[in-house]
This record gives sequence, structure tokens and C-alpha cells, in this order.
Amino acid sequence: MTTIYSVVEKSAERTVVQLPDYVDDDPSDADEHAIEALASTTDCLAFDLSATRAIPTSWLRMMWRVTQLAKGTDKRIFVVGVKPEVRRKADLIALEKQLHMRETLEDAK
Amino acid sequence: MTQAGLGRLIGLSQGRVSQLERGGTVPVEYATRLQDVLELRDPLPVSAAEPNAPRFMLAPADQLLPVPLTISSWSRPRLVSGDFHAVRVVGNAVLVVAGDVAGRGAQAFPGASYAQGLIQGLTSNLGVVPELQAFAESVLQSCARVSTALAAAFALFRRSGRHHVAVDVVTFGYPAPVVLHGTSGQSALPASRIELRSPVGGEGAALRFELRGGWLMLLASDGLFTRFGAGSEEDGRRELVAWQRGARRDEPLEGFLDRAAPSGDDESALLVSWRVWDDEIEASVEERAPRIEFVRRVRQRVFAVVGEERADRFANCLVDAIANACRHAHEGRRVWLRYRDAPLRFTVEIEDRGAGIGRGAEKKLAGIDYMKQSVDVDFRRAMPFGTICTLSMEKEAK
Repeated sequence: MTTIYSVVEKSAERTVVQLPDYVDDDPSDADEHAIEALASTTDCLAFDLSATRAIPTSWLRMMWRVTQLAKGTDKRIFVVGVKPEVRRKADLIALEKQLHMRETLEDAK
Repeated sequence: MTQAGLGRLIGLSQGRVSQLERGGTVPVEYATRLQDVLELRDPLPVSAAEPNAPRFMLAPADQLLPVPLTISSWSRPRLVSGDFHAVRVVGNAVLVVAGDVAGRGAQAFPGASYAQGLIQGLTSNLGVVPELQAFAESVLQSCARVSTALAAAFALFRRSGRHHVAVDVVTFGYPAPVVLHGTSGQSALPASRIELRSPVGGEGAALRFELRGGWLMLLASDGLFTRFGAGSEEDGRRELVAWQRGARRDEPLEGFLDRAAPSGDDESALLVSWRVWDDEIEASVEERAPRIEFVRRVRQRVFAVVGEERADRFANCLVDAIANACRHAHEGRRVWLRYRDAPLRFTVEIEDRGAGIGRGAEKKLAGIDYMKQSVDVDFRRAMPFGTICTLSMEKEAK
């Protein structure tokens, strides 16, 4: 199966992983490993959810795990463009404050 | 047509036909053979393929165009009795009759065949919907004229809206039906009920149901209702409602019958159901696009009625439910998604063929807390196995 996310920007300074408007299955182990690999080769990894209306809880948890891996390092992991209902979902599963949310990619610089 | 003529039609030997002509006792062979023809287990003999020959057949469900009903029957003992069912299309409605002729076993069977044939004859090429009470009374009176004491429930199903079916029921000496909502698992009470006197003696009732969304109706003899409970018809009715409210409500009816009780003569049931959906797909776990298109369509429809905030809430619950189903869909790696836009609420069902959800196991499902705080959530066992998750949201914000 093809990956549901796209890597729209990739450099040593910043890598942006973009998710589509609707996601309806869990991130696979391969997805998670690939995103961890992307995080390891960049200073700033941003999950761009600006188009995303609906996403399973499992994706938010995976973003949190990647964020946890970067703890104690200089790397920064952001989630940007989060729509209100996705933010509410993150809040209800106690992740809103754990994920570093920003309004736009520019704010994540 | 005489009993002997009917015997000849279904291919009985000349000796048996002569026996019937002499008014002899009804051979079990006759009853069994006729039942085979009635239930379409066996076609009529070629020699009987006369253009004007009566054909006693239940209409297949897929021909019931006015209302897309699913109809199944169950009886015990299965072979020979006075219980019968008839399903007929009349005008833009579907007429369903469940009846029981007085007498036991094979002795009651010719009377049941007569009643069934009579209903078939009265409704053949009937372009208009009959007045139900008058129709039921005429059937009872005609049966009485040939010494056949009939107890029956007559139900007329008419589609009255996209998700609405109006059902008129007239019963004479036969239990009133039990109506259960397919999704919410609640019993539906009749909108009206009038007590009647049977034209041939005894009591009856005229009931009207206004049904919305998915539902099922059980038309059953009192003996069968008894088999659901601990000894009385009313007890059986209560047990049925409890079964339908529970997580096992998609299991076949037979699974809830008391099989230890000795077999009686008065045990049959006709199950009429309608599971109406506005959108449904069967999708592979591996193929994401059809599922995403389904989510997109549902979100758009919900958005058009309740706006962005609640549409996104519904869609976010839906994707969590689909993700759970895909994670657990072992057998065949398929999931089934269904959507209904009813007048008061939106409903989706997400079904998988996984190991099923045990007591308390739903707490472990991803996103369950979010779902429960956002929409109404229900889990039940799918058939033959797996889980059905139902999400619903009222259109009017609480």
C-alpha cells in the first residue's frame, strides 16, 4: 500500500510531512520507521495537517512518540495547521499539550 | 380446485389421488410433497405446467419492489402443520400473512394450503391495495365456509417516505407482532390499536405502526413466543426485546429459542426486516480510496445539515472507527461501511470480521474516549462473527 503522507519539503534544516484531508487507517510500522528516519536527518520536522479534516487517534499518538524521541535533543517536532476538531481530539486524548502545535509552517520556524 | 386435483397437480400417484377423491385421510406424503412445492424446494412436475394451473409459491424477496423487505420464515416442526405464510405484492404495498389452521399436523395441513391458495387467488393481479380489515374478514369467512378455522395476522407494508414504512396489521386469534428497531435495539409500540370482533367469532385487533430506519418485525404463533421465554407468551415477548437490545442482536433467531422444550404443533415465525441505508460499501483493508471517498461523502452530507464543526466531529469519529475495524479485520480483510440520513439523526455502521469484541474490551479501542464524548457509540456482535460499531449523531445539537 502506498503511504498516505507526502514529504513536501526535505532538507537538513526542515522537513515537512503533509497529510491529506482524510486519513482512515493507522500508521503502519513502516510509516513510523520512515518518519523517525526523516526526523533523524533534519533539525525540524513538521507534520502539516492544514488540509486534514479527520485523522485517527493512532496518528496523533505516533506524532507524540516521534516528539518524545526528540526530547533532550536539539531537534524540534511541530504539528502545524491543526483544525479545531483535530485539536479537540488531541485534547481529549491528553496530547494537545504534548504536541507542539503551530498555526502555520512559518510559525514553526 | 379439489384436494384430489391438487394432489394430481403435484404429481401424486393415481392411487393416492383416488384415495383423496374418496374422501380418505390425507396421506403425509401428500402434505410433504405440497410443502416442498410451496417452499420452492422442488419445482412442480413438468406435466403440471398448465398455463392456468395455480402455483402456490412465496414471492422471492427481491421481487418485492414496492418495499425492499427481507423476509424469512422459521418453523418447528418443519415438516407438516397448520402454520402457513403468504407474501404477496398488492398495488404499491406488500401483504404478509402468517396463519395457523386449527388441528394438528397433517390433518391441519390441507386447511392451511386452502387458506394460502385463497390468499394467492384473492390477490392475483390485484392492482390496488385492499382495505385490510375487510380483506382479512373475507379470508376468515371463506375458510369458515369450508370448515377451516383460521387464526391469522395480516400485515400490509407501505413505503411512506425514504426511510419510512407504514404497517397496518389486523390479527384474528393470532398474536400481535413484535417490532424491534434494527439499530437502536428498542421495541416499537403501535401508533394506534383498535380492538375488533372476528366475523367468525373471537377477538382481534387492528394496529398501525409507523417505522423509521432499520427495523424487524416478528409475526409468530403463540407457541413460538413461548419458546423464547420461561413459559408464557408475554415472557417470550419480553425476552425477545431484551435479545434485540443486547450486543448479540444480529444472531439468528434460532439461537435464542429454548430447544429443550418438547416440539409443539403451533410454532412458526415470519421475520420481516428492512435495513435501509443511503450509502453502503464493502471495502478492502488494503484499498484505501473507496473508504476515503465514503468518509468524504458522509462528511459532506452531514456538513450540509449541521455545519463544519459537527461534521468534522462525526468524520473524526468515523475514521477512528474505520481504523479500528481495519486493524481487527482478519477474515477476508474486508470492512463494510453503511450510512443513513434519517430525519432526526445521522447513523453509520462499521462492520468487520475480526475476533469480535468481548465484554469490556471496547475500553481498549483506540479513540473510544473521543468517540464517546462526541457521538452516540454502540458495539454489537456481527454475524457470523466480528463486530459492528454504530455511530450516530442527532441533527439537533444537544
